[in-house]
Amino acid sequence: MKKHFDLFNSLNVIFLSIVSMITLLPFLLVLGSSFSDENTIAKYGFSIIPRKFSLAAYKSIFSNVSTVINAYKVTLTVTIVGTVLAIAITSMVAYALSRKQLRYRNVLNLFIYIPMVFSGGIVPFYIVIHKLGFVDNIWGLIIPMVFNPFNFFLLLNFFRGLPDEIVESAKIDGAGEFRILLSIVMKIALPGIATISLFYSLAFWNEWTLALYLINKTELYPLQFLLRAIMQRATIIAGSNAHFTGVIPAESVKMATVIVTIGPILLVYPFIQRYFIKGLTIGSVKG
Amino acid sequence: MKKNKLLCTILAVVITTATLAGCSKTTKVTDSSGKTKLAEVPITIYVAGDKPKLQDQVNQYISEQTKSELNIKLTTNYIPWADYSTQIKLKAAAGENYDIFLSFFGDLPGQISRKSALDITSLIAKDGADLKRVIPADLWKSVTSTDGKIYGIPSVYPMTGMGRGFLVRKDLRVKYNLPEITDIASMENYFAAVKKNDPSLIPMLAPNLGMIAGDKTLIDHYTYHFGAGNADAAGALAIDVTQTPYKVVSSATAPVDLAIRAEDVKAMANGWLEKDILTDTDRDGKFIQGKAAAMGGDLFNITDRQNSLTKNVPGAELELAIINKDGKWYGTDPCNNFGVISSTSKNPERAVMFMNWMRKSKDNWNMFMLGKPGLTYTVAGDKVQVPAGTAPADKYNPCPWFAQQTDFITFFDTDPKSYIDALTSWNKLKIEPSSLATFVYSNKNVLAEDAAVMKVITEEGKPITAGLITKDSDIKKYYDDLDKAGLQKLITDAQTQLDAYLKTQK
Amino acid sequence: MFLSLIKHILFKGGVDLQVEENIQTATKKPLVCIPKKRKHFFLYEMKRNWELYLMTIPAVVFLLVFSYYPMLGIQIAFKEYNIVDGMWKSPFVGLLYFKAFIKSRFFGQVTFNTLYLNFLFIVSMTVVSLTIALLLNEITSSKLKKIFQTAMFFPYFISMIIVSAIVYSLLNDKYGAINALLRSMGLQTHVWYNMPELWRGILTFINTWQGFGYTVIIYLAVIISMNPEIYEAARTEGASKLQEIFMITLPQLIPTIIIMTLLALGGIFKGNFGLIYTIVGDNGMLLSKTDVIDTYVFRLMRVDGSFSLATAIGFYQSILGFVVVLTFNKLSKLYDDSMGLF
Repeated sequence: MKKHFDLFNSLNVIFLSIVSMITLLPFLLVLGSSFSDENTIAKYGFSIIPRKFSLAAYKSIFSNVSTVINAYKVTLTVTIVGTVLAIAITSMVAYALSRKQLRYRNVLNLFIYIPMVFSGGIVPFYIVIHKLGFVDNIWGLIIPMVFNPFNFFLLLNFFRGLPDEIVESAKIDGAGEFRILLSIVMKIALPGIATISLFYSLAFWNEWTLALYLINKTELYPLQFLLRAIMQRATIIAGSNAHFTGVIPAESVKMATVIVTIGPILLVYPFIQRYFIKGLTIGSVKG
Repeated sequence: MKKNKLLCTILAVVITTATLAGCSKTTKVTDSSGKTKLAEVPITIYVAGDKPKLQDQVNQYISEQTKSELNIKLTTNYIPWADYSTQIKLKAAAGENYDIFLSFFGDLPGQISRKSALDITSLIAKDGADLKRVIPADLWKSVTSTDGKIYGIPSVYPMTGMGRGFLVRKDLRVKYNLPEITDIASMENYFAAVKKNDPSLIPMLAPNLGMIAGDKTLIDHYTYHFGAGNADAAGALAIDVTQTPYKVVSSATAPVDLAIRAEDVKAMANGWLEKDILTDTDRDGKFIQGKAAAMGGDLFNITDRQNSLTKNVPGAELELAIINKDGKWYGTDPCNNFGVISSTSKNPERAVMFMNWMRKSKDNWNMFMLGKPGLTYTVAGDKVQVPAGTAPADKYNPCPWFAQQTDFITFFDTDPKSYIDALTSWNKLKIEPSSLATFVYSNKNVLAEDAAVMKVITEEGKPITAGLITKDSDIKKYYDDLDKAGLQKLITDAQTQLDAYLKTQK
Repeated sequence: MFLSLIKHILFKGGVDLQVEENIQTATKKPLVCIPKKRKHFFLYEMKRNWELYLMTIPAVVFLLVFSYYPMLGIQIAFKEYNIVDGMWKSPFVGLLYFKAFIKSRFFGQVTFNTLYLNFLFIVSMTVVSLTIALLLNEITSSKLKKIFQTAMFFPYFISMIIVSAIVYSLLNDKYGAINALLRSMGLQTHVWYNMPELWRGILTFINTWQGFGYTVIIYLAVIISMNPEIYEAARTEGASKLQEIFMITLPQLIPTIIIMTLLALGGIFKGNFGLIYTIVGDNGMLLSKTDVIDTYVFRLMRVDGSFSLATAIGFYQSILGFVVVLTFNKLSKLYDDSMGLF
């Protein structure tokens, strides 16, 4: 029996290692190329280990250090505030609609689902965010994203799977719904909460279209928007009769923009990971 | 935040009442000496590109310098090229109050019908004297609707036959001991030489060899294509400009297109074009890395490509090869860039005055295009220079296209000679006028057919034109598919619109 | 639709005999009456669960403002929109823009591509993510687990433009890495970008590669929340690993799989424009297998993007997607009433 298990385990590790390589290799390619001298990329293409090391790409992005640092500040603020708000709103409604005693829960589920399929398009959305006064306003980068039906359904599914005994016993003890949510449910549903926290923060971190619609002041440019502008300078619109003028950045710069975006996430991610380890929730359920 | 909003509203109300009380409708005030004085208004311009670092300072400079003449607070906002068209439409739809924006030939009809472009006929008559003076009469046609209303201010820049030129690596040509490229034969010799001497290079980076259309063997059937600014982006329809009355035909069987196709087949067979030519994600990147010997492009592409190329390939030099330079030049290309006054503008008259002021003199124009002397440029003889110590990325590089006037252009001392020469020669071209330059085709009646035809052309036509598909059976299938998609309906519809348009031109 | 939903709920919750007689006859289920409170059922429900309903208010308000109010803009699909007349007063043109698409010769082919490609995306993503989540769960070393999990997440951060550049650097005919490798081994090279039959597979691979890290996390979160007691009991009875997975883990994952699939189905007519257009672009050689509704319409819109046309196509895609989801949701409810989205 044990032998069988060990074989399985080893095969598993090998298989997952291969899978990880498939996902890591392109990233390493990007990383390596971002530190490559541009001429060697031109001659030899992308490489994992730079043939000729160079920080030129990063220098080019950070040439305007204050703008980049500012963009980091903006994005960080938006992400943290936004994620906290989003978790609050989403967990409340997901918890409520996971309770079978709620008669109208299916109506509300449908109500939340419909916007996932139907949309009036960018024009009305654009008009709404403008009329709400979000132009050149940091809240404009936060509020339109504090609720996402997809994340709601994920959390709903999670909350539905929670054992009813816990909630029942808390009710018998006289706890109100809000109290149950905060002190009990959030704790035992940590993997779910952690999951959608991750998703929401990634969404905030990567968002650039809101900035495109709303922000004219350079001080309020979020990170992704700035980086996208840098990347785009290299993409000449084919067939356009409008002539492009400006500096065409190198391939290495395009690669460096990815690293600049992902860098902070990589630092934070290990801390979030512990919520995905088995065992954390077992104690609370048993107790 | 709420308090601020309230304060602003109160201020706005106070100011409005005051202005209304004291002013006439055109925001002009008569002061004690009887001279009309203008009240300060904000003027916002939207253009495409990246905002230069010093744009705000230049705007301020202009506002200060024009205080007595215009009294505006100038703001210039930039939207990335890729998003520009959609964003500007959205802003209009949202009712955002901006005044001037960059527009393009293909977008203007839509802007007129969606009423986002303002009718400025009376404003031009009143405040546009200098505009009328420096902008040639035939350019105004492209912004005038059939009922005589003016909807924009044309930019003045070479636009005829831009596709007849292409960028060549002069250093390589000289290395192979070849004369300048002026026709199909010399072009082919160059490609062959590249293949022989530098086989690692791509001889030509272009979707097809359309530039040969200007060659003296083909110029007598010079063909105008619908598309690139017209509703039929795939260019399914064509007109032989040398035959009157103008007849709309399928471009798939037009003589010039067939000649281009034959040339592409030859080029593909000889390895002068890339085999996966249809997926080319980064021609510029490849070219400036020195991987290609020639590339499609026009005189406006020279400067940037030269600067980037020199960094990567020392000794590389670009020139613009022009096919059949001394032959006929048909003026079928539309003026493609305009400055348009938005219908959401609160101060259209002042906006027109600003545009007029810009064209009044070279000095005025330079205040926007070159910026503030000492800050964004310094004079160097009859040219200008970027101030010492400015990083290349910080060069003041505004979007000129909403108010371009090439006879006002001052060259930088870093501008390549090839660019200066090309611009000069283009300004001197003798152009055969054609009313096709201002014709706009609307595919509204045939949306379904156009969508289908575009797909057939993209899926079958382009590979055939590029020389990738050469079997006769495939070509016959292509023609059949075009018919089945409804090409004839498209042709009839276009001919009707064209005839109606030509009648108004008589 | 909505009306029958209301009836359904009212009915299930207890209803006044006199008011809703037709429901009785239509559905033939026994009535449940709550005598004193019939007329005020709604208020009763509110009073009983007021805290829970309160919790839903922020989300509801959010959606009303940012989704439902803008949804009124769908009307421009039926109008000739111009900004002076705005949404409400622009002239009505009925189904003009819908016909433009539906009557078009390639409507069928392009719709098929959309559905088929999305089907491939959904199946591939689900199978791959599930498998990897299950396998990842079995890893004993928590360090390795962390490493694998992090590694799988990287593709999500690489924007499509870069992915396209990497794919191009691999498959490019003249300079691509794959052809270079083939040449060095003396094998024949191919012009990968001119071979349409490969590209549904390539696009599916890219789509899965980019998104599976995300989906694995979702499944993993559910797996680790499962009650370990059942596993202990199974192990003492001598169940093998495979049996554990198929008899215990997977069945408990079914609600999640259903929800994820339903959520994906809503977009089955929408076909991932970003991915397809960035990678395939206007390469005519590949279009027959990869052209979807969005890319097809994009060509029309490139020149004079009429908002009306865009909205009409979007609406068409939404309606079809919605019908698909309703159907599958209903089916999942037949399987087990507590499942499904709504």
